[in-house]
Amino acid sequence: MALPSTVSSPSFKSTPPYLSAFNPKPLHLPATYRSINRRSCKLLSFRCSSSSFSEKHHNNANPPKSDDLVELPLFPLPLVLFPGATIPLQIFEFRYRVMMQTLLQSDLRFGVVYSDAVSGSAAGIGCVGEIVKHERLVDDRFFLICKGQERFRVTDLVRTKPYLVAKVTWLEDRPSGEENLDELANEVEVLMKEVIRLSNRLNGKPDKESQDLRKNQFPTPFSFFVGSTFEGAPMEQQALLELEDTAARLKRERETLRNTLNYLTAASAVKDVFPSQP
Amino acid sequence: MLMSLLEIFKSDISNSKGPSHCHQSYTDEFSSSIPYKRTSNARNRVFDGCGSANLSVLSSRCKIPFFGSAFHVSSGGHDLGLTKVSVAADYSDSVPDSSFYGYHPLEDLKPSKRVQETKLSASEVARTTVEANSSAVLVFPGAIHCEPHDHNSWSEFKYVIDDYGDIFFEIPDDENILEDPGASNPVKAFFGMDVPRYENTRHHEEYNISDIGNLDQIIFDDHYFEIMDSEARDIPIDWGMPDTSNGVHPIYFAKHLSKAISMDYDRKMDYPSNGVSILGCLRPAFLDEESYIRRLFLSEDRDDYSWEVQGDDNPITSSRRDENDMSSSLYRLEIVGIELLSLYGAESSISLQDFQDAEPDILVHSTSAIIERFNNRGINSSIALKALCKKKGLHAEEANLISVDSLGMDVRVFAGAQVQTHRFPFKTRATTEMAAEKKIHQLLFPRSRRRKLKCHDESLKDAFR
Repeated sequence: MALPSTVSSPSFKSTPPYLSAFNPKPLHLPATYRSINRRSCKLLSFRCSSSSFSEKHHNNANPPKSDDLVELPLFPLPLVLFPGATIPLQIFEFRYRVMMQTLLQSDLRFGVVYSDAVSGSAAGIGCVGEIVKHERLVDDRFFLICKGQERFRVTDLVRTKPYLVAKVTWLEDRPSGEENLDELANEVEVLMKEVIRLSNRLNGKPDKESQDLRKNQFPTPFSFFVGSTFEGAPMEQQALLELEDTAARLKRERETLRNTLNYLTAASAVKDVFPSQP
Repeated sequence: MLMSLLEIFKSDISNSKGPSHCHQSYTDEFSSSIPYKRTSNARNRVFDGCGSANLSVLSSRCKIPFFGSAFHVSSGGHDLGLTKVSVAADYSDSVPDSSFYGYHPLEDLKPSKRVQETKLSASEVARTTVEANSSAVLVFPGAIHCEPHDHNSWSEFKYVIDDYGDIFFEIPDDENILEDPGASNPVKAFFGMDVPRYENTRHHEEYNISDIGNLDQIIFDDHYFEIMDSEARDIPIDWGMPDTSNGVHPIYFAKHLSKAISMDYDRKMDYPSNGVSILGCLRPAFLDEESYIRRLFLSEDRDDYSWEVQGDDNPITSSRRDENDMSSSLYRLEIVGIELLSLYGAESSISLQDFQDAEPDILVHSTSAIIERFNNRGINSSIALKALCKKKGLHAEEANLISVDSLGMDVRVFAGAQVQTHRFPFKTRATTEMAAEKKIHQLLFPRSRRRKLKCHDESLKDAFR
């Protein structure tokens, strides 16, 4: 019997295009890295800090310390996992069922990397997913609830069969100490609420009470939470994930939300004048 | 808070529908044989006709020559049902006629079959799921909706399902996102579940009309890829968003953001439910269908109305409903393919014939109330549920009652990070809400048959001896 439910349920079983298209060749980290770097530099307000961080990271990457490297099984997905975010996953492809059997015997952690469904290339930076709940289904499929933990950078591929295993280093936001992060986070929250309110209004949904989005989170975890809600723009999510500065991430999120709000405000005004128009 | 209120309200609706559904079921048995045969023939023609029309001219309106007579028969059948219901209402306190069921609901019946049924068939689950809900999420491909972007878009709308398994949607005119509201539009409908986050399309090769089987692939696969690779668009439009968001329209972006905020995956894992996904076409209802469909919606709204507590609100509510009736369009969902995703995680295809032949479970509108009353008992229920699991050899740190039907109940069992669903069948079928609750009680407190409810605490102690 069905219960009232507004949450998502597992996708129907089939071999998804993105997994079939995935290229098992070693990750072209330099290419991906340069590409991301080039895009970031287009944003004037971020140019200096991004370049600065890129240089530092490049320097750090040159002499990789062996004790910093960890081996992690990788799971390419058409989504971006953020620290603190919860995602449901259904495991049905054979190689990932094999990976699951291994994980259940040892560690309940694996790496989620964003994989573009069309090109099949996987991002060089991802996030650890920890399995908090797992259910074995018929035919040895699994349904999982995973929570995002640390971010990581892929430094090398250890093996590709039957599933990807890579060496990774950890990523952390570094304190810039320049901004009032709390103020910035509150600004982002206000914009988010307004975007949600107008979006619901345009879709004919009833106005709900203003909910507490931030829930006493510190600025960095809140910036990750905001990024996780940008599901409509996974490549933007990936860019947010790769930033190592909370202030930069919050500013970028604020800009995206502000532009979205501007459009929705105009669309809402048009709808008021012409009720039958979208 | 509002969500909790909505769920409570839904429970009330389910509770109020219980008795009427029992009567309805009774009338079905009595009247189904005659009109069903004719309707079945007409339905086949409808399916064939709409199938070919939808592919050749997706935007054309499809008129079925034989539907008039079928509708007439259906209308007659439904009137007969209403008559039965109104007669039965005069004896609202009476127990259903025992001769019809063969035994009194509270009487223990030895199973006449050697193999006792322990759960509903897939078709029955699918039919019950659609019957239990009153709104569904409709997903439209980019070429079909009128939102200013090319990705799939979705919205939730109310529907009714009649005794023959035909589904009708009501779309308020100011919420209609169809580019051409007067056309037959391909759609994917999700009942009892939300849109899968990353939907993987499946082929419906088993259907005779292979072109329709490809409809899913033709319409939805293209846009699926567009979602994944927005940067591949030929002419990215600058909405003032960062480079990595170019090609992502603000309305689409905001819709996804609102959806992400409302997701509660943990609860879905703790309380899974059956889901049905239907691929089909949304065809505007014919004029002679409208009165029949409006009546179906009204009979559902009447249940809502009966729960209005404050008298002062009645005029406003009534006024709003009238306005709504005058400014909405009715559509029939022409079904092409049906998928069931059960709460056990099993996926199965349901044929249209099986879906329409299946009867919804007799407790379909009582389940929410039963589970809610069970959970309201608090710690006693939880302890007894875990004891029951332990008796069955299941290690349960936590346990949730997640589903009840006439043949048994489903319990969600938690041990560490591991989760599973276990089925506890009833010894005999429960044909009323009261009977189901009694059977659940007997499962949890086995010796309670010899005690009254006031000895509840002692029964609990017995369970732990």
